[in-house]
Amino acid sequence: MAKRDLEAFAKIWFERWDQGVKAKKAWETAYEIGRCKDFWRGEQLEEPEDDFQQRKVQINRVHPDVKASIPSVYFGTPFVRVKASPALADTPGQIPGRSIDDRVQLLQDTGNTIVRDSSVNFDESTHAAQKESYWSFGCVQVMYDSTPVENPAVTPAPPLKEKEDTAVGPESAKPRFGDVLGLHGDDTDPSISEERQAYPGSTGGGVR
Amino acid sequence: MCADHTGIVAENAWVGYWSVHYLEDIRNSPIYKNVDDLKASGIKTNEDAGSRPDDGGSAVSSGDKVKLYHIWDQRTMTYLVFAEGHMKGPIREKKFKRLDLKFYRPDVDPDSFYPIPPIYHQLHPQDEINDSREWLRKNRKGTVPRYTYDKLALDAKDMKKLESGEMGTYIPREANTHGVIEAVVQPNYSIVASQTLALANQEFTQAASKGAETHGVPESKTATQAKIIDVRAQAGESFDRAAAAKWLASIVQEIIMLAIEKMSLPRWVLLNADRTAAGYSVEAQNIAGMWQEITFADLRDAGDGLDWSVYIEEESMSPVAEEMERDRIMKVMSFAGNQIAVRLMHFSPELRRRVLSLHGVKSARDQELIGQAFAQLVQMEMQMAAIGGPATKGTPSPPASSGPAGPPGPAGPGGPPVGPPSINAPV
Repeated sequence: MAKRDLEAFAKIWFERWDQGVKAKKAWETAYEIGRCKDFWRGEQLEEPEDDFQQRKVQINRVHPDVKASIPSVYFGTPFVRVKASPALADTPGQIPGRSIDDRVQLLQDTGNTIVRDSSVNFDESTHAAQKESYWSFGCVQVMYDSTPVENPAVTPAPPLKEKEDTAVGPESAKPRFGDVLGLHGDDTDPSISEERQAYPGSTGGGVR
Repeated sequence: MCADHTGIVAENAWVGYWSVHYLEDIRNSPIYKNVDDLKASGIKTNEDAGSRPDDGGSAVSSGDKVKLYHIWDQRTMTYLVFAEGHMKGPIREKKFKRLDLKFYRPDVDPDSFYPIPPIYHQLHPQDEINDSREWLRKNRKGTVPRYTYDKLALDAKDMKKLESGEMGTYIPREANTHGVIEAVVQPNYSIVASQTLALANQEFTQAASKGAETHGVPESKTATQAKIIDVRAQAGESFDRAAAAKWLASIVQEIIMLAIEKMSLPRWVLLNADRTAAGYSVEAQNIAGMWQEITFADLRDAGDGLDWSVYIEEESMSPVAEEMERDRIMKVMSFAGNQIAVRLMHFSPELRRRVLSLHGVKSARDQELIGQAFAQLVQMEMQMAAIGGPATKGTPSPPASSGPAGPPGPAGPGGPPVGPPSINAPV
């Protein structure tokens, strides 16, 4: 296999990125994205004071409108329904406990539990993205994070058993990459695996 | 950021975003390769606060940060990370199966990835509102009452007394004089400003696609107008809610897929009973232990070979939707008082489904439950009729078998009796 010219590869992508930036700038200019957000925040006047240094009138109707609109669209944590394909759902001769309904129910319970887990940041991320869509667009990234989650049914996680090479003190307080940068599952520092085994908790997803 | 070919996310050649990190973190991270001679981007510390969490520059100077470009190449399905100014190729490269960025764009422009923001249409009316109000303020401040007086009728010194705020002040004037003090007529500019303000408010409401009542401003003059405005507002909100529900469902589907693919340790999940479903309390009681430990194998088996999808119940997203759902159910419950309608819907399940769907009860489960209740009602009626009990209110009594004949029906004397069949008659 021929070796790829990495520099040329990087150059192509940087050029593509620049084109993307131009398209985004054109959109921001056409639809006054910055001004839209300023209006929501309440910075609507170019000169907030008149000739006599008195504040000009500003009746912000954008902010209350957004505020009134949000709860009618998306307010609480949603209830997730998982459904099997209609072609499969009525398959005859299903084994009790392993039926399609049972399997779908398991997926649904898993989804609802993860969504309600505060460490996943589902509510914060989705509500922030929804709000942002009023002046721009909303976007969340769903990713895997290997931070252990406490098991709600048992006692808290036991303390780590220190070995010779276990980092203690200020070194151990350093952030781990998988947690802080919000990277993907296989991004996790391998040294965490040992720590994870000490926890009776589990892994979870994340939204940002 | 994206190639911006089309409004459909999947059809764009690539999408991505940029982020800012400490250079030290990137160099030390095992997932990034080719970073030995990586240099800081030289960006200002607070410049990127909108993209990534930033500590405000107090801890680390701008020279210690690097800007990364995260790109999802959707043609080759490769995730790439480049560092700004680093021309030695990507510092990260891996294949991906699904795009894990989920976009919420309520008003998509079909020709562009970028949507039209709702606030954009409100900018001009908002400017007009501020402008008109400012004009009114200026007028109010600039309009000071002015007067003239007849100097032959009044003495200037006496006039000074009228300028004080003292109660019961009086001054002398010449006899046989009239209109000694008159107000100066000033032009009134505020009428135009008030009209502009009303117009701007109306335009703003239209741009917001909501009834003015939403903003606490009465707009409708009649009940019919109010109903039309309400229906339009509800339709608009339902559309927005459905779009948000689809977006949330796509996020949850990705979360479950990740759990199936990546979860390696057991996890405790709550066995959920849908609070909005009928029989919630019974269902909740049936679940002996509300928590269940699931393993990677359980999840993998559950999803293995199963074609499944996620949707969000809109009623769970907003109290407004919940209230609408309640109103629909209550409307259907009122059928129970109409025995003829109940019987019709009992004997024709097709009709029942159609009527319930038209009344907004589209859930097959809810329709089934209502059908069962109607069947019980009809059965009770029949039992009461069999034992000769009183006819239910609103139900015509059966014709007496030995009494005088009823009035002739439309078919003429001897024809069938007028009215629907009684509960004793076979249907």
